Amino acid sequence: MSLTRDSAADASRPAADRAFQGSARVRAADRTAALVISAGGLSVIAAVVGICVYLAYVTLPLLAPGRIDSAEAVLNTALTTEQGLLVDEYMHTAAWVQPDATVQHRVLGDGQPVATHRFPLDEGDAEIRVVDVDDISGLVLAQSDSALAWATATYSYSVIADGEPPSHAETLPDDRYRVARLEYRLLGSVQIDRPVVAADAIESRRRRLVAAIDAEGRLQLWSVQRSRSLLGDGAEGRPRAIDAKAIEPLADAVRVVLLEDNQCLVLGKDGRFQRVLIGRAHATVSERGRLWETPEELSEVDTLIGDRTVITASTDGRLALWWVAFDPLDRSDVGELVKGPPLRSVDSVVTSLAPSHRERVLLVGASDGTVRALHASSGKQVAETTLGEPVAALALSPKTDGFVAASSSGYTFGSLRLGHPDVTARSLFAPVLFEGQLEPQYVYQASGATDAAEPKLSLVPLIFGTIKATIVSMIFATPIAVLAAIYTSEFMPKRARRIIKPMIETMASLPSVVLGFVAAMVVAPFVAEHLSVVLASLVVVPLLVVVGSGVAGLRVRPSNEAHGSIALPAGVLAVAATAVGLSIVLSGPLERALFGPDRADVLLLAGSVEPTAEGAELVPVEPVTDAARSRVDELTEEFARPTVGLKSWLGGVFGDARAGWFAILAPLSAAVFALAVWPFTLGRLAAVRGASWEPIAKVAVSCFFGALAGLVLAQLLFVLGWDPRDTIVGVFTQRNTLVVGVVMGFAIIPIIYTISDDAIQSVPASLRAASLGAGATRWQTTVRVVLPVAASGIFSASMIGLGRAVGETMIVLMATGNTPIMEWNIFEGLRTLSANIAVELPEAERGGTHYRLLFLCGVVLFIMTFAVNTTAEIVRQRFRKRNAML
Amino acid sequence: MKRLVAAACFAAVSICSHAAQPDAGAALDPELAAYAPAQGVAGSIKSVGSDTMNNLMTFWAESLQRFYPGVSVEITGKGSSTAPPALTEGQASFGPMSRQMKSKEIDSFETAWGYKPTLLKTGIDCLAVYVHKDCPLDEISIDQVREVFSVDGPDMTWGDLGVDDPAYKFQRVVLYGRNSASGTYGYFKQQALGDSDYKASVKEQPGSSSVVQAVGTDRFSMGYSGLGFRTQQVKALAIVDEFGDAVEPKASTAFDGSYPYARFLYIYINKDPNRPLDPLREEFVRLIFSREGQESVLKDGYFPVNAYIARQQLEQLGLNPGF
Repeated sequence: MSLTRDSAADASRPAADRAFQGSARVRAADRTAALVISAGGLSVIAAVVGICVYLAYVTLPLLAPGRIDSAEAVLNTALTTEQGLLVDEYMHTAAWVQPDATVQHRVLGDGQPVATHRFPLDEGDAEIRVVDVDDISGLVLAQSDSALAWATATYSYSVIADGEPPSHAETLPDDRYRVARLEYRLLGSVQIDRPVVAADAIESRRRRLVAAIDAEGRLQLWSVQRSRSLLGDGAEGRPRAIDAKAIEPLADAVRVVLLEDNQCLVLGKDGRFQRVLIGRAHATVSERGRLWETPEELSEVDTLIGDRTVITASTDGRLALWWVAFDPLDRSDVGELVKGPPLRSVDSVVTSLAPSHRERVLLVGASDGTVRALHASSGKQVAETTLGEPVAALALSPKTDGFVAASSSGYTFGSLRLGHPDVTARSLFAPVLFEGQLEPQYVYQASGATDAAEPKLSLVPLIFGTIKATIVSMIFATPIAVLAAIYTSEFMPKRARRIIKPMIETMASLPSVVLGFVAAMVVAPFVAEHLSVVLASLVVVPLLVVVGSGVAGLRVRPSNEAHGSIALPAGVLAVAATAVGLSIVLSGPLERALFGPDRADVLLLAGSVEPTAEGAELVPVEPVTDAARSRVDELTEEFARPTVGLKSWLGGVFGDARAGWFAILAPLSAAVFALAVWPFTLGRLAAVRGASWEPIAKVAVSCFFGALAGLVLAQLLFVLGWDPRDTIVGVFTQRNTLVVGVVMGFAIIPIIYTISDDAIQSVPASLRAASLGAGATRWQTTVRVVLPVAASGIFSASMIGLGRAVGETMIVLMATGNTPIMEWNIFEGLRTLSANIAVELPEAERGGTHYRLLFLCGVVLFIMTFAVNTTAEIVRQRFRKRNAML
Repeated sequence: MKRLVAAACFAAVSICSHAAQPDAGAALDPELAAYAPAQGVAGSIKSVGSDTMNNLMTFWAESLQRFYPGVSVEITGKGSSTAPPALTEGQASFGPMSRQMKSKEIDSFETAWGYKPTLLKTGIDCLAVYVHKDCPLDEISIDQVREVFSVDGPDMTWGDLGVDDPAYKFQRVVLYGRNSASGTYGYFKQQALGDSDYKASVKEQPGSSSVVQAVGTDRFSMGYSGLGFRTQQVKALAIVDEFGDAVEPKASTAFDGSYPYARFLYIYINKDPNRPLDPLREEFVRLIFSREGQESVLKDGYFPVNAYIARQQLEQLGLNPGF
């Protein structure tokens, strides 16, 4: 396309102009080049657009709603359906549990009988009545006059490839047939002396629990030990009664629900409840209360997959989720029943609840004939359909891809498509109240080993981690890279620069996985081992280098030749080495002075003194034994060891906020003072500007005022009750942000350096010549003339570095521990969007929610880098416009 | 890039792994038969799945190649959760997993193939809770494990676990674990945490050996991994069960179920129930359940299955065990 336009333009040009373009061969080469270049450019654009389209293609289905399609209705079945309905995995047959606990196995499509199974308890002629049916496990609890028994109805399937299939077989492709069989197997029974009104059973890790309540609301509990051997078949032992006699009966109790972690919930008709903790031999009441204060009655109760969340429906059509939450900080907490996120209520009476076997989804049937699918975590309504008659009973297929709804005249069944109900704007970006928790939180834990695990998909911790890693590495890398660029292009002799620049650029060719490996295996353990030295040198090295340069400035004349000497860089290196040595020597005493425990701390930790009730006074624990004394000595010695005192202080074992604030703020104040305050005020007042000892004076005065400001600010923040251990520092872990910042800094230094250097180099030589010619020194020229002109280039260099840091994967993946924590603490790890994609993509099922979510992480990452790069470009354009006049 | 991670992890393995001392109680079932090679077996095998079973798969692949030099084997082990997608998409013929498949994973497989994947129990592992070798702690209770690793408990110091050594008492327990692709991550979450969530501060390592390596270099740390990854730098804690007995992770306690975190090491395969297994996969399965195959299990630090289980697995595939 572009070629034809070019040749059209060619033809219209004057002949003289064409002649100027040279021979036919040159023109042909030109055209080829134009073609290749425009094709290349177009394909780049196509590739970028293609990636965006693909990202949208994968992520947009997350927004797609679910669907319920009711297909066929079968009428006049003469079956009672209220008790329970067990659908097979392929939605071909279903089993109706009848009031006498027999099971009618029928083909769904036409209601043709497959088999009738009697309840497998041999009780002679005694009448058997069903008490409870669990849709998910197929467990049926039934009672006769003298016994309560539990049995499971489970499906098994076989495929018939040849031979005559039975009439109820499901036809598969390739002339094959699938036959679903139902097995009704007795698991256990106990003797009871009076009829029960409600019962429940649960299968936990090492025992099965059975609970029943009688008409007076008395609770009875049994536990059945299960075989633990790996080689065994999970055989169950004899039921053993658990002593619940001490528990006061709950009047009007209508339901009993067993939950994981040995919790049992007895529910009264009026919404009162009693929560019971089941021990090994005894059960005790741990909580009593009301689910609601209004006069509504309980209409339906069920549990979600995982047996931790109870769903209740009241007669006013309101639905609520409940779970037991514990305070993680209080180890003796008995927990409390917490109400989950709100679910949309129904306009009529809820008649049936059917929880999914796979997800935290439930189907709600109501007396107005509506069937709605709700997602419990997000509260989102997935789909809705209306049937002609009031819904009497509901069942979900095990794969949650279909449902059966029964009414008085028959039943309707159809398919259900959920879409991606876990993902909503709220679940991604707002705090969510998850199962078992007290407060809404930002949590990312996308997968678990069981179907019951609730996916927690907040992207906020990942975005936070990305930003935190980027900020820390930029703070480390930008000053070093930019100063290095200024030095090599403006001050370093040309021949040295020819060696140094490629060397730094070679750093960029280090694969980031190698840097990550080094960070995890070498840097992280080293920093952990020598934390105080590392932190001390972060302050001492820059300080001493500045002082050293100042001293050198006194001796070396600021002439241009001086910069050609190799003595200066060598000197700086020597000073830096000295500074490291000094840090090693100083860190010990500094650490003990600032972060060591005082005598009272040690005595308290050793247990030699105790705080009084008022908390102000410490009283000695009598008598003082030799053991107690040696304990104090041991502790004192331990905390005096390198890094132990500091790490203990960081972990909040002892000490107050002042030491930390001082250590952080004193160097910062000194730097702010030297850079910002001095040049404008004190420098002028002291009239030392230009004097040969100015640098030394500046450093000394800055240090003094810095320390002073640090002291004052530390005291102030301490009085205000702020502790740095809640913010930028805290518990020390080996794989932490500081390590990532430093190592990722190494990865981005070459980029920032090399682009900044080019930007500085491209400042017209005439400007430098003019400045130097007017009598400015090299330094003055650099700061006042070169840098302002090169600023746009340096800025975009930093932004490109930033973009690289945002997307960097391998270093953070290997060196951080990938902990999705939302804390600014630089001694804790983090998890970035990019590392998250790398870690989790191999396990994500193609097309699943998790897979699409990871692509969404990619979209967020793209938006972040796009925003950064666009900002960079806008700023650069603005600078360039200003500089265009030069 | 992923290759590079794998390479890096492999380097970590080679640096710090030594074959764990086989347990005196773990012995081969004498009924297991020696492997009898068949004729005309060729082709290639691809395995995608568990990192815990990576070395084990390699051992088995090497034995297979000793018998059939023409067979090529490719093994990727980035975590059990990578096995179901690979099997479903037909990218792998074997899916080693250190946990069982979730129903949803089975559903996807069934949607793609029309039948369920076949589960083989190939060995037994104890998921061990590791601490640094110098750590004074020797045992930990089931409840403590849950409190330490899950969001149900507070951030713990070693003193909270009963350590009185002044060097440890006030130090925070630093936690290491696997990433979520791992079956070990899932199994531990299910068995040790009672399906509760991990603390966000549990550091996720890309491989079981990196967990052990990290615990071995960080003296205040605790982590979980398969027993096959035990090195000289770490020590596996005894677990105090609900009856108050401290149970060591070893063959006898794994078999009788008294060690609470014992589990099978599984391999899932894609077998059409109405067609026989192809010769190559049949021979590989036979090798796994032969004397040689189970010796490899022992050599890798895990425990072999007995003849009863081996027979069951082979019969399940319609193969005649021959012992």
